[in-house]
Amino acid sequence: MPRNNKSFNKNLALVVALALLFVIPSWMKNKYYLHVAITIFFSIGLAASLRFIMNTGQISLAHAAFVGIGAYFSAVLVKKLGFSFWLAMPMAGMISAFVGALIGYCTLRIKGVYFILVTFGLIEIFRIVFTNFWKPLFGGAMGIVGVPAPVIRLPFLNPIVFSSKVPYYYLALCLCIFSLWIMYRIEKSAIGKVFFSIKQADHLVEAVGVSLMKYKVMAFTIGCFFAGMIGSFFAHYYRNIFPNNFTMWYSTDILVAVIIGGVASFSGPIVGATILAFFSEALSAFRMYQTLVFGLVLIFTILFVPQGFMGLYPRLTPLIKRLSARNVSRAHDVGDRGRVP
Amino acid sequence: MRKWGLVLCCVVVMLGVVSLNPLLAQAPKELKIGFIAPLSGPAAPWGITWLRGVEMAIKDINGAGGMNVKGQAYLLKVISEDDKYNPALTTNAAHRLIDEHGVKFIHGSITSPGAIATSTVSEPAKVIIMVGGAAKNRLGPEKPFTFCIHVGHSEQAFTAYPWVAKAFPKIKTVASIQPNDETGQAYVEMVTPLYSGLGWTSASVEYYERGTKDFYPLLGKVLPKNPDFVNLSGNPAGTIGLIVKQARELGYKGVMMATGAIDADTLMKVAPAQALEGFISDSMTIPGPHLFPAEEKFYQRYMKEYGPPWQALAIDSYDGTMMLKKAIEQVGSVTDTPAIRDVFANMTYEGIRGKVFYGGEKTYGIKRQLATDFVLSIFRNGKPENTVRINGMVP
Repeated sequence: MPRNNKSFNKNLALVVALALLFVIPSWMKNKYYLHVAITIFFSIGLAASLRFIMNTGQISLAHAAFVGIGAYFSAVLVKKLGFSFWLAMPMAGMISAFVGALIGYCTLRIKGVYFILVTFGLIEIFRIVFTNFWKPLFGGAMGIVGVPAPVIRLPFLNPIVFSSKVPYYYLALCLCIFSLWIMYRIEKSAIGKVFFSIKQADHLVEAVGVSLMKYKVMAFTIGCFFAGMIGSFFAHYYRNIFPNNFTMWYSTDILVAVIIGGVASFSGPIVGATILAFFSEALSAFRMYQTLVFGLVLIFTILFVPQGFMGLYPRLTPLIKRLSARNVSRAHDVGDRGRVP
Repeated sequence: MRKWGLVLCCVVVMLGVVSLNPLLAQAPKELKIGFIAPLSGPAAPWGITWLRGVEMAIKDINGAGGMNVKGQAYLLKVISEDDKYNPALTTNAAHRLIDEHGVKFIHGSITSPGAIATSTVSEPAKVIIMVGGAAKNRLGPEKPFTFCIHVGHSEQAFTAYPWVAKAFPKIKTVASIQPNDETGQAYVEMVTPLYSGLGWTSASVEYYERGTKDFYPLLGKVLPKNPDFVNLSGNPAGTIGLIVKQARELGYKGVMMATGAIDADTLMKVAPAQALEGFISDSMTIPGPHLFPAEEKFYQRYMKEYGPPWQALAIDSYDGTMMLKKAIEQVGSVTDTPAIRDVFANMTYEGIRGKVFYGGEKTYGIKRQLATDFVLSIFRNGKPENTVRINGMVP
C-alpha cells in the first residue's frame, strides 16, 4: 500500500476514534462507566508522561510525587488563595516542572538502579513532607478536603459548575489529547531523537558534544509538567487529597501501565493503561486478588512479550498477511475450478 | 363452547392459587448492601472483621426470611470492595457501588480518609453510609447521610479518660505515641483538648512510621520527660505489644493504655506477661464480669464461624446492619433514604452491647456518632480482666 494511503488511513482512524470519544457521553448514561473513562484518560496521560522521561533511559518511581505536588498546589491555590482552577492547573504543572527540574539537575547524573533508588527515596520524602510539615496549608495526614470543583465563568452567562461527570469527562479527554499531542510532537522532533539516542548510547551522544544533562533534565521537567497538570485535575475531580494517594504503589501502577503497553511505542501507554483498567473492572468481584493478577500480568509481559502488547503488532502483522494471502489464493483456486475450461 | 368454558375455569383457578400463595405472589427481592474497606494490606484485619460482622447480620436476617418492608420480603446481599487504604480507590469503589450496582446503603469506609472519600460520592446520591475512622471532619451537618457506627478510640477517650483520671489520680502528664498518618494525627487533634478538663498536660506527642519495630530511640525521647501515663490508643495490637515491652525494658513503671478495637491475643503474643501487668485496654476476648451475655455469645459464635483474630468492630457492624434493617422496616421503603436516615438517626436500639443510639451533636454538629458501651480491661497476671463498663458517649 502506498505510504501516503497508509498515513491517510492512520489519520482517518485517529479522527474517527476521537469523534467517537467525544460523542460517548451523549449515549453513555451510566455514570460509573464515565468515571472509568475519566480515570483511563488521566492514567494514559500519566503513563505517557512517565514514558517521556523513560525515553532518556531513566526509570522514575517518584512520578506519583509530582502528581501529588500538582494536586496539592492546585488545591491550595484554588481553595485557600481563591485562584481560578483554569489558572491553577497550568501553574500546578509549572510548579511540578520546577521541582522536577531542581531534583533532576541534582539526581539525573545517576543512572540505572541507583537512580531508581533515589526516586524511591524522593517519593518517601514527598509523603513525609506533606504529612508532617506546613499542616495549616497542606492538612497533614488528613490532607485537603472539599477541593472546589472547576467553574467556567463566561461573560453574561451563569457560571457552569462541574457538578456531573460529563464536563469532567471532556476536560480529562482534552487534557489527555493535549498532553499526548505535545509529547508526540516533541518526540518526533530533533529533540526527541536526541532523547532516544541518549537511551541507546549515552556515551556516544556525549562524545559528539551533546550535553546529556541538559536533555535528561529537559525530558524529566516536561514529564513532571504533565504529571503536575494531571495532578491538578485529580485534586479537583476527587475533591479530597491525602498524602497516601501519592505513594510508591501509585508510581508502580503507572510504570506497569507503560511496561505492559510497551515502552518502545508511543501508543504503549494508551494500550497499557486501557488494559490495566480492563483487568481492574474484570476483577471487580475479586478485588482482593487484583494485585496478584497485576503482578502475574506483569511477569507474563516481561517474559513473553518484553516489548509490551504494542510489540505484538509487528510480530503479528506478517502472520496476518500470510493468513490473508493464503485465503486469497484459496479463493482464486476455487474460482479457477469453477471456470469453464 | 364447552372447550372455552373449560379454559376459563382453569384460568380462574390458577389466578386463585396465585393470589392465595404468598410465595408466588411476592417472591423475595434482593437488596444490595455495599461494603468498602481495606481487605488487603496492613489495615486488612479491621476491614475483614467489619465485613464479618455484616455477613453475620445478613445471615441472621436472611435466615429469618429477610427484611419485611410493607409485606415484601427482601433478602440482603453484600457487595464488598477492597479500597486498599487508598482514598482514590475508595472513591472508585463508591462510584461502582452507587452508579453501577445502584446500592442505597454502604458500610464503609472504615478509615477517616476513606469515610470522607465515600461521602463525597454518597451524599449527592443520598446514599446512607456507615463509617468508622477517627477524624472530626468525617461527620458533620453537611453530611447528613453519613453515620459512624463504631465507637473508636477517639470517641472512647471522652468517657475512658475520666475513668482513668479517677482510677489513677496521680496522673498529671501524658505522653502519646501514634502512627504518623491520619489515624494518629486525627486522634491527637481530637483528644488533646480533653486533657485540661482532667488536670492533665501533654508531656510529649511522638509519631512513628507504620512498620517500625524498634521503638527504643523514640522511647528514649519520651520516657526522660517522665510521663505518668503513656497513651497508645489507635495503634495496632502488635505495635502496642512492642512499645509496652520495650518501654518496660527501659524501666518505665507508669500507666499505659490503649483503646480502639485491640486484639488481645496478638498483644499477649508480643508482650510478656510482666510487661503487660497493669496495662489498660478495651479488649473483650475473655468472657467475664461486665460483659453482657449477648456479647459473650456473639464472641463465641464469631470464633466458631471465623476464628481469630477477633475485634469488637464485628459487634459494631452487626448492630449497625440490624439497626438499618429496623429503620428500613419502620419507614416501609428501601429507597426513601431521607426518611430512613431520620429514623436511623433518632433510633434507640437494644444491641449486643445494650442500648445504642446516635449522639455527638456538640462535637460534630449533628447526631451521627454512635454511643454504645465498651469494657475496659486491666491486665493481671498476663490476662485481661474486665474491670469496668463505660458508655462511649461523645457529647
